[in-house]
Amino acid sequence: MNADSGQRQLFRSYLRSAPAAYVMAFGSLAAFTVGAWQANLAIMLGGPAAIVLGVAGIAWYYADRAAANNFYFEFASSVGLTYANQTDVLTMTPLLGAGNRRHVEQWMYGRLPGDLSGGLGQLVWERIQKDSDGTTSVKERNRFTICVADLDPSLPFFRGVYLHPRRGLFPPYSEWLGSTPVRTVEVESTAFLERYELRAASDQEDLLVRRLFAPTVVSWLANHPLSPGFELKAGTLCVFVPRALEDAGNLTYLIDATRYLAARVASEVGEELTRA
Amino acid sequence: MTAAYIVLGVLALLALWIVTAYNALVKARNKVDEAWSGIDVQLKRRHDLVPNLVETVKGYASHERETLQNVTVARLAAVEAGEPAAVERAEARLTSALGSINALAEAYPDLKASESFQRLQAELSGIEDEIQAARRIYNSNVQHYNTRAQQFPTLLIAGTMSFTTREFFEIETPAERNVPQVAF
Repeated sequence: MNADSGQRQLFRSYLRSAPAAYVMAFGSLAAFTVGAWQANLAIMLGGPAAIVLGVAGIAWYYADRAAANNFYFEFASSVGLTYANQTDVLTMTPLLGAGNRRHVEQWMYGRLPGDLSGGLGQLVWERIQKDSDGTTSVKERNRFTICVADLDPSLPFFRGVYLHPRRGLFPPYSEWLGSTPVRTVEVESTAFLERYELRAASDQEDLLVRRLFAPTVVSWLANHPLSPGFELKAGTLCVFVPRALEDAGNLTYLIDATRYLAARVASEVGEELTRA
Repeated sequence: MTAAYIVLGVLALLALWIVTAYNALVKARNKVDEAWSGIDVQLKRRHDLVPNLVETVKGYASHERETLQNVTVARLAAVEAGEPAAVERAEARLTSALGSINALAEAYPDLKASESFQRLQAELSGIEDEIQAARRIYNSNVQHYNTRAQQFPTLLIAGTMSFTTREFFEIETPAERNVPQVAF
């Protein structure tokens, strides 16, 4: 099951609907009449065709959106979450505050599996550029799938841990850490370093990061099929993949990854509290 | 004159390649050493846990002296092992010896039910998971390094500057090595 499931049936039903039929019939007739009145064969033939194609295009667009909405609604119900089409999220981690303008689409929130409070959705963030004449234009638009979990007890221990997938030589999206003061953390695994860049806030205790990235976690991340990144800051864990996940399997994978990482963080916090 | 510039350009490119290839090999080798330290840390955690485990078992099964002594001797050998090959053998022996403690727990229900024994077993199991993960990381780094060192033309640098290939690290007990026979 994915965001395209049911798209064709919806498209057919939209095309067969009365409004679409009326627009196609009257539009084609009108275009034909205008063509005849102007004695223009191109308009007489091309006009009706353009009207039919236009209606089909609009029907496809709405079918696509409705199929996606239905899919996310169904998925949210299946994992016990509440669906809320579009929303804004608090900028708790650098990614959640990336770009100049952002919103979350297909937001599903509530108790995630693993008894975590949080949500799942697609973060759309944009970089807006203002030209010298005052006009603004969207310079970059990115869609990330995020899974956010509240981990309040981690607040005093984790000031900022940022694990980002490597962006490569021609990065498809720009860096969003910006002026956040960070330092690079080296991990012993070559496979891990080929996939990820690990950075920590400059005031983050190094030992805690080392313990969080125990060999089991490093090995798990280095072999995870989604290559999920994550940010842990201000008691919030934001696990993400830098693309839109539009099928139930991968969304479940992302939730599982969040649950695993949250359990790891909770275990480290528990040990710290015991020590204290 | 033009030919001289071409030769100089080619030599400069060659020098640049040698420096890059050499640095890449050094980096890969250092990652292997780092990963080995990662294994070492986890093995040390296991070694530190064994005396507590032995003491706990002694409280419930004191006359199983031979088993406990085997564990102690295996631990000592593992602590003293230095080279990867020796560590591999010693750790396999320790794993096998620790397995016999599990078998003991089956024979002594009080021991099995003991809270401290269960806690130590859980801790040991967690450490063993970390050892396995550290071993996977080490082997993956070794594979990466060995591939670099054996690939042409990097092997010319590796050969002349003594970048010798490394061995993989396996902790395998004889029981794990035996393939189970299935008969119908």
